[in-house]
Amino acid sequence: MRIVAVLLRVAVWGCSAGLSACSVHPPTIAHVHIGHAVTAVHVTPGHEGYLSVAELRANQAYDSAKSANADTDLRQLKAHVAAAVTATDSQDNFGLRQSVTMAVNHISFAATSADASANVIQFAPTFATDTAAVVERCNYIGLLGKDVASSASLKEASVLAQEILNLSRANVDGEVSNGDGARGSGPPNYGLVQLRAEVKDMLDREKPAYRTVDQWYLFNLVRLPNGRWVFDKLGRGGTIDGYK
Amino acid sequence: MVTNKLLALLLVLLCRAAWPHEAESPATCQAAAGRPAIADAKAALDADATDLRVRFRLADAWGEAGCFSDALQVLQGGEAMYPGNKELQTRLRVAKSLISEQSYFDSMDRATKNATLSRAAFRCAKFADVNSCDDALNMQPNNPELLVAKADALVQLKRPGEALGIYRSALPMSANREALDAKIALAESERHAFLETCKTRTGDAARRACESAWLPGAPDEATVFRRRGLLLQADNQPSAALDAYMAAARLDSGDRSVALAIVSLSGSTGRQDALTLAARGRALMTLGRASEALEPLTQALRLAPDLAEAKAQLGLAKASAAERSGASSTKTAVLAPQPSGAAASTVAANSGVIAGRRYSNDAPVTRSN
Repeated sequence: MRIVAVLLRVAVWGCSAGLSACSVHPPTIAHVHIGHAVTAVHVTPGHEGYLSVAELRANQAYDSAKSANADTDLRQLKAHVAAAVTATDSQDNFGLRQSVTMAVNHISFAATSADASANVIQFAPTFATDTAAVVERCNYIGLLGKDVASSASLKEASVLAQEILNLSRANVDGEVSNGDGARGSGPPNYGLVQLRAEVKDMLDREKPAYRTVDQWYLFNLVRLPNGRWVFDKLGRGGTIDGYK
Repeated sequence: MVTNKLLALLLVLLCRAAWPHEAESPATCQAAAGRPAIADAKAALDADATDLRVRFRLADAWGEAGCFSDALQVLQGGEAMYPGNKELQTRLRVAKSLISEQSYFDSMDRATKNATLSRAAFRCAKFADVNSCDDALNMQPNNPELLVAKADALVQLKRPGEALGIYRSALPMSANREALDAKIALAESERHAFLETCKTRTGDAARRACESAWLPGAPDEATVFRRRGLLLQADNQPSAALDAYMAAARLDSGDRSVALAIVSLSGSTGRQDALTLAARGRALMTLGRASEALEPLTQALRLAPDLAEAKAQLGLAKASAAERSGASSTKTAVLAPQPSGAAASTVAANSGVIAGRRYSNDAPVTRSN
């Protein structure tokens, strides 16, 4: 296994050094940044891409909110709401808000890379703006969570938990708009389902085509002190200059 | 060559690091055009538009001022002349990135504010939490849905009088006038019942009814305050009663029964704050005791020199005292200084006194304390 890894590294190094005999081409720096958003990154739980972590956390928050809405005991309800809030907004545990923000950051990194396509450059600010609805719901859930924590009334806490459930559901698959009754129609109603679809559409438009980036590249992209992004061929570790 | 490119890239990244990360407003950027760094670079570029170094210097100056759009415009101006220039392309990319970053930060700020607004609106509508209604209305003062939600909350809290005023202010903006008219009719009917209780009953229930019936700006507002003052006084709450009478006097300064109560309660409570002293002075004027009004009005102005109403009343009191001393002195004596016609009408206008109405010290003196 170790030998295979060494061989792969040699192959990748050789290819990235531009050896003509090599048939494997390293991905563009822009695609590696996108890979961190959609495929894998070495700092997240299970090395999942930030968007996948966001989806996982959104579903965890929704499940906890559903449990809270079935509770008839105030203490139990508070515990479930606290779990929903942690899944939604946690600096230490890649909450939904943090994971979505990191996905935006990495797609923005992609857009500012010298090898970014016009498609990626155009998409990055749109995607950033379109995540605002999810971030806003996360902030709102956090505020309502504090109200639940300080509530002494099961009736009041239940009303708040119902609102948290609506918001958590909207973060998963979008909000129902007033006009057409459909979920997630238009960026203000977007949830993770719509954001994922938006990223997929962008990737489908890429020329040359986007291919899932090999994990070695994803885990070995580093930024040098002069600001350049390079692959860490010498295996010095994945966090040179604080890059995540 | 490679070294030069690396140095150029490093320079660009250093420039980016030096630029502030908060974009300035268009007005600030317009003003920043006069800064020497920007003005000098602009003059140099005007003299030679092909000089790329000068173009970069001007873009950097705009960037340092936080005016990223202006920096981008300057760089875009060089694109046609230097289409293949790597440094120009890198700088353009960085400038565009900063602009989109700023727009992202703005959207995140909005997300924070909107969440606060949503929470306040939710608490207002679901829990009749009037403080939350006020928080929400501070952020969106003319939102008809929030206005109606606050009024609904007030109706739930048995304050239909205040609710009515808010429903009416929402009416011109409302999309559903029919529903709002129904709410107004209901609140009016509830207020009428409370008003009757306020006027005819006594004790706690009547006092609470007066609070519920209070409608700011209504013709009966002074009556409600006066009745409230009376009920509080009967309930041995002199300070609260004084506040209610003072509110009644602000709305109807000519009510002698209110003036008597203010003179009595301001004396018995011993309150010496500027507003109470001014109210006492005005009440004494209403009762025709101008010479006695001089002292509390002077004290009020000593405590709060900008109290316009006390100033006006003091002017009137002095004029009245001077008139009286002029009438009682020998007919050959020199007349005391009188305010000019214009000055007197200014005083009257400032005090809210109806034109032509004058206080007189000749009115019979009735002491209540």
